[in-house]
Amino acid sequence: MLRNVLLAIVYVVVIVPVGLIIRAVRDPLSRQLDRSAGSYWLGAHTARGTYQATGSRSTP
Amino acid sequence: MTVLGISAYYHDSAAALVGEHGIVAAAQEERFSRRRHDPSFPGHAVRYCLDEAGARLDDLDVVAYYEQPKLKFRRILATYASVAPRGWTSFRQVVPQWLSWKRRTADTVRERLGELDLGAVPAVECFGHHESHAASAFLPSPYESAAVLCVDGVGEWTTTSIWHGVGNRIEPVTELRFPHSLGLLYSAFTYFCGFKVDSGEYKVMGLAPYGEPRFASTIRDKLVDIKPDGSFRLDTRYFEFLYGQVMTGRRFEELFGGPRREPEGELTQREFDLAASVQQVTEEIMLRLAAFACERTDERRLCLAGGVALNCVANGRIVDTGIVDELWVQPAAGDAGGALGAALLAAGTDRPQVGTGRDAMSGARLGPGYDEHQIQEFVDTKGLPHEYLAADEVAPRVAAELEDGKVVGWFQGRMEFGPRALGSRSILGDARDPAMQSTMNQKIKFRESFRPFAPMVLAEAAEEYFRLGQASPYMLIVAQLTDKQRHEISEAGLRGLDLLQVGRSTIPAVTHVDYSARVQTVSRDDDPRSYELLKEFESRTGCPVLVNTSFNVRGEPIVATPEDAYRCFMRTNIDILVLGDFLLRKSDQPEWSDDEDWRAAIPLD
Repeated sequence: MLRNVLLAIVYVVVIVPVGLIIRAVRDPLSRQLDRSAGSYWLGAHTARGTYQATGSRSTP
Repeated sequence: MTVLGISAYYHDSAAALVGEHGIVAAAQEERFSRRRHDPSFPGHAVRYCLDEAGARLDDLDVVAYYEQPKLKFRRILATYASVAPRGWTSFRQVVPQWLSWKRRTADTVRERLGELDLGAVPAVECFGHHESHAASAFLPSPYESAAVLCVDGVGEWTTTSIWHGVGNRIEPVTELRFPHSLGLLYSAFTYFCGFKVDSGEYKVMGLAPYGEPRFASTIRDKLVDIKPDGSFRLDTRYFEFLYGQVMTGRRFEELFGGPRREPEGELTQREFDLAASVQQVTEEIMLRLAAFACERTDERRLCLAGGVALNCVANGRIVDTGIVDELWVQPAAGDAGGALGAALLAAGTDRPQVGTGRDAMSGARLGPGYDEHQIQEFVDTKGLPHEYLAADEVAPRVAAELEDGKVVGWFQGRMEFGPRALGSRSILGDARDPAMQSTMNQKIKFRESFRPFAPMVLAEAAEEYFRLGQASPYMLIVAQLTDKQRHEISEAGLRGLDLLQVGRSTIPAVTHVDYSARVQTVSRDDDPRSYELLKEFESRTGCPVLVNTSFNVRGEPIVATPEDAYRCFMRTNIDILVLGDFLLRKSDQPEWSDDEDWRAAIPLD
């Protein structure tokens, strides 16, 4: 019960306003279609590198 | 380096072990836990892999995990922020487990490994989800260099990626990101057709030949914008997967003529046509992606992985259209294969298979095997009536039984890694028998009759039967039957599932309604036992083809042990069980009884 209340607070206080603000300035998931674009490919940003179980993340 | 690879906590968990000389072992957890697509920590599979290598956790240099949990969590949070306040229900269900342990999965993996009590746990390194797929596609392939294409639902952010494999390295070239996903598009139709997401996709593929692609233009116009280079975006307004736990909703229903089919409901022409339509669009995208991957890397060979690489009809089109000179598909193309890819990346081993014309997968026979003594002990302990055959007697005896119309449970050597049974844990039958398809479906697999079976064929005789163009050792390429094997038939008045009952070829049990077949070519190197059996069957009948379906019933994982095989044999109408060199006849066995209704205990797939 308490967990649900805390989650609801986080959702209402953080997720919803942050989402609304971000969406006001940009399209965070790039959801818009662009029928006139030649391609939708992105650069080479594919997730790489290693995350140590101890917590430090390194990217080669 | 000795490396243990792990994929877990989403779908079809697995472990793989890579040593100094290459891949030692790999297996999915479901085979041990007997829970299909088991997503839990693969403790049994880890234990097996270490046993196979005679190693303990102390002997490992590192443990490789197949994705980056923190990055995935960030994507999930970004998705909620992007759709808020619509995603509250899903947020409440999903986020608590991410907060409590999933975001630090590497630590959880370390803890769970520690609980196995197999020595000190080494460091856990996390690799990218698509990076693991790409490694599993290229590093075990026979090629010195190749284009690599990975297509799946989603990992962290990436849904589609192109890589260039050279030597023992893979370099990222370009990618598409969530929510624009061909895997999720296909899964949306799987859901809408009343099948289970992440397991019913191959049913949609099997239904497609019954339908007309009359919705394909709607899919292209409304759901997905496809560019000439294969890149695409989904119009997410038509899908529900961003908001919650289902794939489609009202807007999707409006496009495709009403609500989704209820699971286990009657299949109608609409589902056939939906399947044909999404399959057509998928093939179109895959062909463009394959062409673009080759163009960008200046390669003529392509390696594939990711769940969509299990779409063997699309794979067959890639081969058939000549976009590539050669195609190699990782047999464990789904998430299970990520364990192997991550392990290979961490191990950084050489690729001695290059130049030999063979891959490094040992024919995908990377799971547990049982020697003569272990099988003898099993039949003796249980007191099972059996016949022990000399090794050279097995193929002639079994070929004679198959010719006589018997259905044979074929349990030989090491278990396959990946979703397909390739002759180690298979049920075999006579492909020439027109009744074999429905006999095996209804009396053995206990499932819908719309799905044809797959043929295994002697590699050297494959071209006589199938327009294949290259080897297909992992049953991941669909090809058309040659004209020589087709029969002139009349389909007048027949529709839907009745079309499958028409004897349209010399091998009707494995011929789909569009004359296609999901071919497995068998060479002596990959599987000497099945090869000998096919040779014997050919010398008796003139036909080098057998029906090969996985050794399980609907909804159950493929059998792993002699005990699993015997249980499945006794519960179904399989006539003969061959465990290595031991032949067991159903008619000789003591009566079998289950304590409970076993069919009710197996969830529908």
